[in-house]
Amino acid sequence: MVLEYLYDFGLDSRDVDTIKDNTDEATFSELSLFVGLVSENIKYMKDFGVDNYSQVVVKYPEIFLRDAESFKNIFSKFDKDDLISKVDKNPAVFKKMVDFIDNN
Amino acid sequence: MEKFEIDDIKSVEVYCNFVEKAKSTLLSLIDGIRSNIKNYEERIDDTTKDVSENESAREKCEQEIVKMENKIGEIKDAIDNVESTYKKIADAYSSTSKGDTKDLYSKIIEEARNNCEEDVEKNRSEIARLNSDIEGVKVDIANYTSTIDDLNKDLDEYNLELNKYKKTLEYFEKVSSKAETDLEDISNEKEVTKKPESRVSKSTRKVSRAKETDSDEETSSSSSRIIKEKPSILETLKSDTYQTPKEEKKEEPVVEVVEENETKTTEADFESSLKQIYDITGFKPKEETVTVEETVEVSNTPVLDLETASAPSFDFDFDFDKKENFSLDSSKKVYTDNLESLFSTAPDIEKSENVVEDSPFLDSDFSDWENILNSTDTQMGGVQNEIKNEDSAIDELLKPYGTSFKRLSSLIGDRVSRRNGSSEDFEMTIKDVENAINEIDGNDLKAMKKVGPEITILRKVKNLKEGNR
Repeated sequence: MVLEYLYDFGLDSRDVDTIKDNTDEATFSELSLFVGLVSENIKYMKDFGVDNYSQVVVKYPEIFLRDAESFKNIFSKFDKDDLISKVDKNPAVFKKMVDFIDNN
Repeated sequence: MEKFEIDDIKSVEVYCNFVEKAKSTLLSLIDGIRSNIKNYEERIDDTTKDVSENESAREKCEQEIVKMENKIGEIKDAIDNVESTYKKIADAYSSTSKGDTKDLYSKIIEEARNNCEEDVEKNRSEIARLNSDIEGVKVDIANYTSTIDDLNKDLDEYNLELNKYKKTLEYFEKVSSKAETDLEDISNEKEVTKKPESRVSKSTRKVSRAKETDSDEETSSSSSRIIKEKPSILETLKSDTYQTPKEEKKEEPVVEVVEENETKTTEADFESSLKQIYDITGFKPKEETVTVEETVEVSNTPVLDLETASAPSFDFDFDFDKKENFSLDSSKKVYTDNLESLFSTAPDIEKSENVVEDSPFLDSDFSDWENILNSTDTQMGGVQNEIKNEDSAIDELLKPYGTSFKRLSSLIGDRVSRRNGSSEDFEMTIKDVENAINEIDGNDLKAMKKVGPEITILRKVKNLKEGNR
């Protein structure tokens, strides 16, 4: 089963299909190969308190293809409560945050 | 004295007519006083009722004020909450207001700011309105209190006047009773005059011309003495009616003495009563006497005129139905601060203290990556030549990147899947990692700085194994 490990984080087959449809070949293969890395990042986001993390995974899976330290660095740049509330309202906010960190 | 002597039936009839008239006048006056008392009692009842209603209204106003103050407290708490939220947003704004983040948060912050401003303005307006209402209610309370005080004052006056009238009535009833008694006495005297006429003549003849002057003087002095001992009606009325209850108590013993004198000195009592009735009624028989003239001087004090007697009226100009209009000054400015002042206290825009320091790898070891790549005797190359154990060697290679082979192996799975559903086994060896490290270029270093060295190396390994560079 493709991206089976994502099921452990509450995603279902429709979410996986969505990821499959919305990602390029390289990203998809990396998601399927870098299981430990992606899982570690998803777990951190979940433990951080972002309830809407699954939607972030579905819509922006490439964000999780980065080192754990780099991934954590994103969260440290913003106010925790504010980040959580904003990302819970709109997953796109997290994508903009990542872009901001990457470009600065 | 001669003129008061009942020496014939004609005089008795005159006196009887006078007493009848006096009695009739007194009864009429008593009725008037009773009517006035009834009127006063009704007014007292009305006033008491008004006082009760005003006190009830004042209590309601006070309760309303308590409710309003509680509501103001709740609104202030709501304002504090809104301002706290606003502060948080402002802090977030200040910590992320550099570069593109401003665009990231600008829309959200602007919307939140507008909402906060709207809520704060709304709540402050509500507080201002409630404050105005409270001021209005306070004015109402003051008005009610003033009304109650006025009514209480009126009530006291009514009670005082009622007391006076009651005493006056009591006295006039006494006088009326006395007049009736006198009338009966006169009637009896009349009978006596009719039957033993010689006796009457004899009794009248007892007063000789020779003694007349002395007798007149004595009688006059006696009458004067009696009058002095017994207060006149006017004096009594004056003391009873227009003195405070404390003063009235002082007068009571005098009245008792008068009653004693009445029983003892019948003749003098008769004369004094007659004189008092004259004084009250203003009625003067045709035969004027010195005694009457003396008392006329006393009656110069126009205290009460039986002919035109009426209860003293009091001014009830207070309009209970009058309603004061208390306009609320809605333009009253209750607060002066604004949101700009709140913003002015916001911290300066600066980076968050929580920013994680960049990896030493990124800043020191590989910041000069071009020199590293062009060098023929790099640190990596030197290490590679020296290490004999493969595991140790690869870890030494990976050490500058802050990772190890074992760590990299834990991050990957054993299969690579494709979008078309196909998948293949993936095995990463030390040699693969070694090759990947040797293939690292400037782009890879940039990628390392962005997403980290581990993922970059893994990607490199994957690409190399897949034949992509």
